[in-house]
Amino acid sequence: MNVLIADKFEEEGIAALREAGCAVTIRTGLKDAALADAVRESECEVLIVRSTKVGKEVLAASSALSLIIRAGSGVDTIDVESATTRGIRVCNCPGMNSVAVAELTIGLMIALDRRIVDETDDLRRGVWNKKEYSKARGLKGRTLGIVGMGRIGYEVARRAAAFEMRLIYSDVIARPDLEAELGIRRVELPDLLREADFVTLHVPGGSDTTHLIGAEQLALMKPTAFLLNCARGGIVDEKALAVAIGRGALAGAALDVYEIEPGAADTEFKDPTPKVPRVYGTHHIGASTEQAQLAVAEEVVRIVTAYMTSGKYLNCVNPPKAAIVL
Amino acid sequence: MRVLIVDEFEEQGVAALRAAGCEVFQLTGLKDAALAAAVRDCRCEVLIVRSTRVSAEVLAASKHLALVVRAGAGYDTIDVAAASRRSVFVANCPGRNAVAVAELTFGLILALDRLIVDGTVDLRAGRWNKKLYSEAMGLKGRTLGVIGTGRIGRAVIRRAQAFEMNVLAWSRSLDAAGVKELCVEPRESIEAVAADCDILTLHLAATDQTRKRVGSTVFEAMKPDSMLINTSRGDLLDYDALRQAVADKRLRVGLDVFEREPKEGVAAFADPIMQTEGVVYGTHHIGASTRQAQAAIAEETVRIVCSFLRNGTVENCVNRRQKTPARFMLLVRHRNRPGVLAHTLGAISDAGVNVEEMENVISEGAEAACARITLNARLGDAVISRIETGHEHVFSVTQSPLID
Ligand SMILES: NC(=O)c1ccc[n+]([C@@H]2O[C@H](COP(=O)([O-])OP(=O)(O)OC[C@H]3O[C@@H](n4cnc5c(N)ncnc54)[C@H](O)[C@@H]3O)[C@@H](O)[C@H]2O)c1
Repeated sequence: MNVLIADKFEEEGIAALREAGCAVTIRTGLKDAALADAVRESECEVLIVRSTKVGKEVLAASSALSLIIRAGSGVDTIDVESATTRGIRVCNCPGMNSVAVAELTIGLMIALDRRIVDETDDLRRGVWNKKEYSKARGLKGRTLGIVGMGRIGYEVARRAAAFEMRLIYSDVIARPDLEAELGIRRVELPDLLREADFVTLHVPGGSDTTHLIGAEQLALMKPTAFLLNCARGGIVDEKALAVAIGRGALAGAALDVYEIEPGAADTEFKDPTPKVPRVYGTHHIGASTEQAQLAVAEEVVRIVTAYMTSGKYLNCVNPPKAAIVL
Repeated sequence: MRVLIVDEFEEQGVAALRAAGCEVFQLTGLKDAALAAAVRDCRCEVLIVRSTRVSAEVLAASKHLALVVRAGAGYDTIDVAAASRRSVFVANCPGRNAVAVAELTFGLILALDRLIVDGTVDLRAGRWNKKLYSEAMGLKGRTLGVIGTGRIGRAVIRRAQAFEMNVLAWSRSLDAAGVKELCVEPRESIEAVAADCDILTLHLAATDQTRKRVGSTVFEAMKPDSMLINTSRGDLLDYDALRQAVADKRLRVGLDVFEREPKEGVAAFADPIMQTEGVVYGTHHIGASTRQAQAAIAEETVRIVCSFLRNGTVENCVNRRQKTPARFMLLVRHRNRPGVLAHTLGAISDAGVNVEEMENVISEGAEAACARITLNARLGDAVISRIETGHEHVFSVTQSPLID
């Protein structure tokens, strides 16, 4: 089977595909017409993409093309509707980055509690201030409030449990299975905000969750509590956050995603929030670990292999009608 | 019982001591003569200290002082020898900060993997560099090497397992049972752990044998781009060799302790390791400094004081002689009446033999008891017979040599 990979992809994944008997072509950095040409020339049945956009032109390039795999979770870079009309299936790899995001979340939590950024900064500048930095509260026995108990929320909860934290969550869906497994308790969002020492957001972005955390919600938090957003920019009203931290309504925050977020290739960062003292930030790298990339590559190989050996589409976002069993 | 606290101490701890019936005095910022005067004036039996030094002068200040509790692990701030000469007990609270140190260790590991410090510094300066910061390795499936499997090492191992890491370990005292209990893979040396792990973390005690133990041989064994964490003691590391390794092998390093560590709370900091080109993150020797750890230490302090108050036993005592000069043991079974012990001790005293330790255990019903007395020399048969037959309430006497 001919497979075209149009973005950077793990060596291990390429080797596994070849091992499984695929003829793998790798053409990175192509766009639109150039990509369409590559699809046509390679006579690929399967196209694997990461950030490369797949539009109408690419989808219409070759009748051989029957499966597009997004090596990642979001499929908003692929024209799924056109794919469906042409009978091309689109599959993704959801949840493969949950562990990476959860690790970052715990890292940011401890970094905030122990002020690792300011401490390192001071030492580099030749300042020793053990007195000031001896006031951390610690994680054990503190309450972690998880907003959105999905895949990432679950991985965060499992790790936080090993730190002997008390766990509460709020979600539109109750998860009695996880309540039993982790001894976690579901509460309403305002109660979660009132009780938690750390509040971490793991809900999807979009209009339902825009400014889910605004001035009113921040006012409910404990003055000693921290807020973490490793989900999507816009879920937190950052203006309100800066004001609330300035007033001492909460102790600080850590962000991986921003309301004003540059593209992957941009170099200038204009969001003012990380300039607020006690706000730590990373560069939207929640999903970016080698471990996550490997997990995604493994999942891609699993999808290709299943399709090759049994014609099945795993994780299909536009399954063929006939396959829907009622 | 009167308790004097001369350093900062958790409110809950003070409340718990009062609830247990102690009269608690709190005075902070005292030193030497002033501290001695305070100990004398408040006639305290128990003195609780954190960083305040307890000198021979303080220990001799009052005949009432019976116990000094160090609310923390190390007790090199207390003149233990002087305490022992006056039979003042010294107790400490070891291991209560293990969780705090383990948390910091993980904070440093994750911060180094995701470059949280540099990431934040760049954002504050208006620089976005998603590409550079996207090259983390991730913890799941990686191998953590733990050197030293005491309380802190164990707390680190438990957390590493929740991150689905493999754990290699070396510890002087790690045996087969420990390996099984901790679910770790043992290695025969620090170097052997270093060679096979992605992250090496040190949790050894600082002794003469461990001074600069982690140096070039360890760094040579480590994989390029791997990580080293030291939250234990500055003494353990050869920092010159480490600077070289950061340059040669691009080691990422997280340190809470340094070779040149200021003694003061606020000071200039001049250790060159933090100026090294590369990824070196540092904290201000605050591994043990969390409210959680302070609360745990306060709880342990209260436990020590309460047990001393209730039954005179000293938990975590650091100056109780492990091996007394006792060479013989006398067991006297007797009816639980007045005069038996005086009779027995009188006979021992007349024989010129010294009592080292003694204990009288009452049997169920309180009708009878057994006195256990250890002696520095053997009692003659005549003395034994005098104890046994010279008092109507003595049942029997046996003497046996103590075997060590
Ligand atoms: N920082 C990063 O680089 C990065 C990487 C991956 C994912 N993410 C983000 O993390 C978030 C969570 O991802 P996931 O994989 O766990 O998703 P998921 O779908 O598994 O879980 C989301 C959970 O949120 C709940 N939810 C939805 N709306 C809610 C609301 N209004 N209030 C409370 N709960 C609500 C859902 O019921 C679900 O349990 C998403 O926003 C995703 O975009 C960020």
